[in-house]
Amino acid sequence: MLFRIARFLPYILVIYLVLPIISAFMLLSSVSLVDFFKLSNAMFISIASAFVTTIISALFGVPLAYMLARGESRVNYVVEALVISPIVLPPLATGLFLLSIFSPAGFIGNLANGSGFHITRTFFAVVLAQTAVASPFTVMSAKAAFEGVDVKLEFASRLMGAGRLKTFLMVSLPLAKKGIVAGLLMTFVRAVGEFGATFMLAYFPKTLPIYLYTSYLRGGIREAVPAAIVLWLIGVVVFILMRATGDELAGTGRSG
Amino acid sequence: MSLLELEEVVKDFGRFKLHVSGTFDGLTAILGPSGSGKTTMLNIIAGFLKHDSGRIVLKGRDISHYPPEKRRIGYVFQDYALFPHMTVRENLTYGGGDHKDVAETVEIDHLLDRHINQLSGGEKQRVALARALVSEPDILLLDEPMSNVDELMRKRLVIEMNSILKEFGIPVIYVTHSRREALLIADRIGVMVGGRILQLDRAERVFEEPANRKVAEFMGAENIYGGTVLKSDGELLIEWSEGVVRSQRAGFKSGDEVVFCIRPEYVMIVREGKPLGDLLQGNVYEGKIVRRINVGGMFELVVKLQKEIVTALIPDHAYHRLKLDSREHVRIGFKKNRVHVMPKF
Repeated sequence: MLFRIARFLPYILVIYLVLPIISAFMLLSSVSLVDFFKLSNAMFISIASAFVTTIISALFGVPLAYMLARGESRVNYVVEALVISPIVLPPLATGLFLLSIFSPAGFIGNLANGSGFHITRTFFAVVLAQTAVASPFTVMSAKAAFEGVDVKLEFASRLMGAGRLKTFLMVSLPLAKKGIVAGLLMTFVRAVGEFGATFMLAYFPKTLPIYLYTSYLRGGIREAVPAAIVLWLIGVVVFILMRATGDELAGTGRSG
Repeated sequence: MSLLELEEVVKDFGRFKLHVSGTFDGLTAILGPSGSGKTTMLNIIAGFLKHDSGRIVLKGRDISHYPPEKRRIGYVFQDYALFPHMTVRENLTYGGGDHKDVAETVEIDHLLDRHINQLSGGEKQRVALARALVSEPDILLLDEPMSNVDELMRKRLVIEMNSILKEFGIPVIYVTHSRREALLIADRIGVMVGGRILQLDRAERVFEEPANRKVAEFMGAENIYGGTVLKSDGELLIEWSEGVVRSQRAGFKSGDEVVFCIRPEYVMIVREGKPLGDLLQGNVYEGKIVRRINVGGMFELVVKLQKEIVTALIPDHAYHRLKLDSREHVRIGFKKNRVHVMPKF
């Protein structure tokens, strides 16, 4: 008897998670041309900034992940904890930390102001906020991937005359590819959905989540639903990409 | 001058300390129990691990502080460490160098376009060997290369590897914990225990004349006893728990505490009523057979003397001729030229 009830438990969660999305779709009514323009603009800002954030995360985060994976000193342990901390920190707090240096009152913000450049409320600030929140996902995933690469393969490469850089590019990187790509996709979705830190640092130009928030304040649920649905769709696409690349990378791990 | 010299190379891990010296030329097996520091030594030679002090000189070059890529060392890893994302050919040509001759000698030319996960254990081993040789290293290091191949194949593979290595003519260090493998492949054997090479010499020498008790134990001498030298004029007269024993070895004086050993295959069964040969005179003991083990073509007899246990290895025909299967009491003899004497630590 108890088991019969228990059998339904998973479905209840599924229904709970799916129902709001269906309900939101049902609230979707025709969007005015002006709103469509604003929505497209926010979507463009979000995707473009998330893309830049992802590239920055790859450029800096992958080498950092490698360093953390191969390092043996205790310092690495501390560095790792600090680097990963934005994942467990509410993004609002991360945003506040960022403001403390990038706002006109902060050290770097002040310097930039002096040379006639306002950091906050720019596309650049959006990227700064997203990078702070989303790049740790790349570091975490890539680090785990590098740890899965047998260090003996790197030794073998070195003994065959390859230096550290060639070894990294020819052996470590290709073998960690799957985890790195997964991490970058995570970073991308997290950046697209970033609200808290962006809200603090770059209320403008409006990204999708900020647009969602402001349209909700202005016109309630109906007004905000289109932005929420676009965010949901981007998430679904990235999830499908993740599965596809994951399978592909897993299936062709040997053919490079 | 194609050889490797380790000069007082030390690596202190706190709980474990590696301290090795020695000259390596030809085909040397480093034989030792697991945890004795064999792989650590290879890792230091290859430059994966930094040593605390001492010098590593390869072909006259002091490579102590060179990065691995500058050392000109070939390495075959225990699990081969082939690049899983490349083909056999890509693995071989990774470091540049001409792979065709090597592939032919190692007989893997038919495998060149295979992927690594399409190879059997034995094939992987050959590819790993070929890969290590392609870049024409000054020395080749092999870390337990047989541990991942089928036991039944091992002997054949060791013999084949021996002939391949001979063909390339570079010094080789072959790490193993198997005495059999070491004797099969190597001209020289270094016995490593507790981070030190206790003896490094020609294989027969290490086998017949171990430097100390630990080497004797590891080389399978089995019958190892303590004693005190009573007299040392021409031959040694040693007092031990079964009386006295005579040995033709030299280099000890009376009063020296020693360890002596005799391999099971050199323990004789002395026939009743037959005159003793010169070599057995005074080295005969009465005992009781406590165990008979058929080891295939040979019988291992465990004989209890008054206090000590002696293991003897007797060929089948002698075993049956002497009717050892039905006898209990037996006289055993140690040939004087086979009683090897070592200093007690």
